[in-house]
Amino acid sequence: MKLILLGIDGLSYTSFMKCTPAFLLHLFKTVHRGVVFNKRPQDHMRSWMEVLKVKNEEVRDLIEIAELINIPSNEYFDVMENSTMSELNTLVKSISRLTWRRPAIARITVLDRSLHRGKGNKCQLYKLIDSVIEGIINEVGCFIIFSPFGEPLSGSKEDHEEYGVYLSTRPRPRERDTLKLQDIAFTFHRLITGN
Amino acid sequence: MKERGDLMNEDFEPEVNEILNKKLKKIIREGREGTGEVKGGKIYHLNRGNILDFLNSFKVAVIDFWAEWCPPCFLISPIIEEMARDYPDVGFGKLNYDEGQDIAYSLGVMNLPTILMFKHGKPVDGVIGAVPRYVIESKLRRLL
Repeated sequence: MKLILLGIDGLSYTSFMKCTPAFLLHLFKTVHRGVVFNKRPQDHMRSWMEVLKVKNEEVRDLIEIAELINIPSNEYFDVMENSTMSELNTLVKSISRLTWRRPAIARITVLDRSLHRGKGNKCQLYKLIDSVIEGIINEVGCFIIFSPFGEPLSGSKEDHEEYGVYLSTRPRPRERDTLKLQDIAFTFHRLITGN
Repeated sequence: MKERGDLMNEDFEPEVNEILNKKLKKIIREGREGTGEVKGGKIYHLNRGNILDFLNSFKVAVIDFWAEWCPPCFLISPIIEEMARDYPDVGFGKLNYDEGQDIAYSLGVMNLPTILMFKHGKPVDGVIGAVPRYVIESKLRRLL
């Protein structure tokens, strides 16, 4: 079974109606959905490490058991300056080369980086990312698409909306609650183990 | 409580309206704090302490019932913010369902998101689910 945890920094439900990303809206209507809560300030590395390193002795860190794509080592976490197309092309190529002996975790940063800088047309970026997501998700059996935080609110790297996206083949853990970042890790673990 | 992604109209019978209004006013009286000056063109975060002042301050008012765990609520939120800027004579408020369940129940709100429209403080129309702006706008214009 091909499994992927796909994180898109800065992806937000608040732009779905304006930008109408067709595939994401299709998923919104057809798979399980939820809201990720991550209180400001949201440091990129801390946010991702909460997902990748599980604070539970009984559960192995995702960083050890999954293939990581576009997730650099700690010291270079915030230094990802690839252009839009370069990042997305590399991501798609890396995923196409996977043997799927292990689950995959991939990260898209271009939306967040562009919006922080006030560069690029937001809806064009949504459209581009939407088509990349469609290509990836159509290849896999089970998935979690999430954003560790919402859209940037200013030029500051730690300033985003506190609510992110969760779309998955697996329901959110609690019906009437937001997902915390550790919930993403545990839910992906359950997808892997089938529990 | 369910999220709804489709369009649905909620028409209130006059007798039901009367009962709901009385119940709402009772709830509000019990927890009234007062808001001070209420102006259009912005979004008010409503609770049992300020909802009556809010409704009394506008001929037409719109309340968006939402919850932070409700994805469709985030789809509709920017539309409400945009409309608040475009209709400064209309009062726009948001009420977090988890913080005002008694008010939501008293107004018959059973699904999220629900947008209720008030005229002279009374609920007269509503929209359930994440719908495009024109759906909310066409209903609102009939009240102006």
